[in-house]
Amino acid sequence: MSTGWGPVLLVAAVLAGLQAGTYYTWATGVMPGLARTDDRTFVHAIQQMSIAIVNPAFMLSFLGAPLFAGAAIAGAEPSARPWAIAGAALAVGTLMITAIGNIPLNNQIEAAGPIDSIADLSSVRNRFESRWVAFNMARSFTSLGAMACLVWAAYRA
Amino acid sequence: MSSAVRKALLAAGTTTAGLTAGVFFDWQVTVMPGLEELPDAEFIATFQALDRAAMNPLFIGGAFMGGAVSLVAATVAHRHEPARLRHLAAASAAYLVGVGVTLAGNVPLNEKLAEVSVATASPAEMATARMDFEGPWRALHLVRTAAALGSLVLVSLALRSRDTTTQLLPSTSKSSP
Repeated sequence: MSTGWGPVLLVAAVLAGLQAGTYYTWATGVMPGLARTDDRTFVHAIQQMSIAIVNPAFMLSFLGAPLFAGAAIAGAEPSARPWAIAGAALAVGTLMITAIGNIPLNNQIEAAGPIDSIADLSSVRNRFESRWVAFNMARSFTSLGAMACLVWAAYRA
Repeated sequence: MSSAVRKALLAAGTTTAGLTAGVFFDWQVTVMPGLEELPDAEFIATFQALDRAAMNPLFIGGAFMGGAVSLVAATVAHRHEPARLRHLAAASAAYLVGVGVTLAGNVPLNEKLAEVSVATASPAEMATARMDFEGPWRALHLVRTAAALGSLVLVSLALRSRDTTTQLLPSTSKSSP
């Protein structure tokens, strides 16, 4: 097929890769590392990274991954289309887990206020940590699955 | 070399390159900009903890070194397919630049920072240790992020590059109206 849809599928696969790697490093590096820090360091680091993550580069990969995966369905060859559909569904799933699970927890820990004003750091941490880690684990799998499906779709297209 | 093996190596190379690029991308745009805002003692304690945790077999063996091995293996496996070979060789080269920068640049800085004891170091010593670390580490990290991203784009292009011989096999003309 040379209708110009090929690049869309490739961009979808690349953005899916960036998403998968992002959640993978939070699952295997960042959160296991922060687990060993004291409550103040944990809460402060999470607050600052929650602020930092709302940046154009991350938002481009976060919103672009499901958008390009969806667009890729339209252009995929019949033999690749089921894989593009699966990839897009998993990319949308990643977005929804984040929107329903991780973002409200990020907002909550930011709303706890400036680090020096938090009276009970341990309870702020406890309300956040295990639930956030579980949601992140879920989106690590959906984002990895999305990338795998889109890579396979690109290969077959 | 069977086509199933070539296919598997290409898929493995793309997936691992994707994970590595995403990991570096996240540290570039989120983790380090977030840690930048922390005071020296918290910055050092957090980075040390993250560095120790990142040294796990799943990342180092699976994604990071696995990417190098599977990309090089995929390149060798496609040596008789010039179009894919070009993209895969370039993807491997870019990836290995990232590995080189990591081993020669970031790892020595990580090791030097790991020697700082947050419990016993003076504020001045921590300030110096952070200053010697943060700027150089982030400059090196930008280089390896660009290299990994370039590698991911190149291996993605290899997915879709076809040599003329294989291109003629699927009869695409049938599907045109």
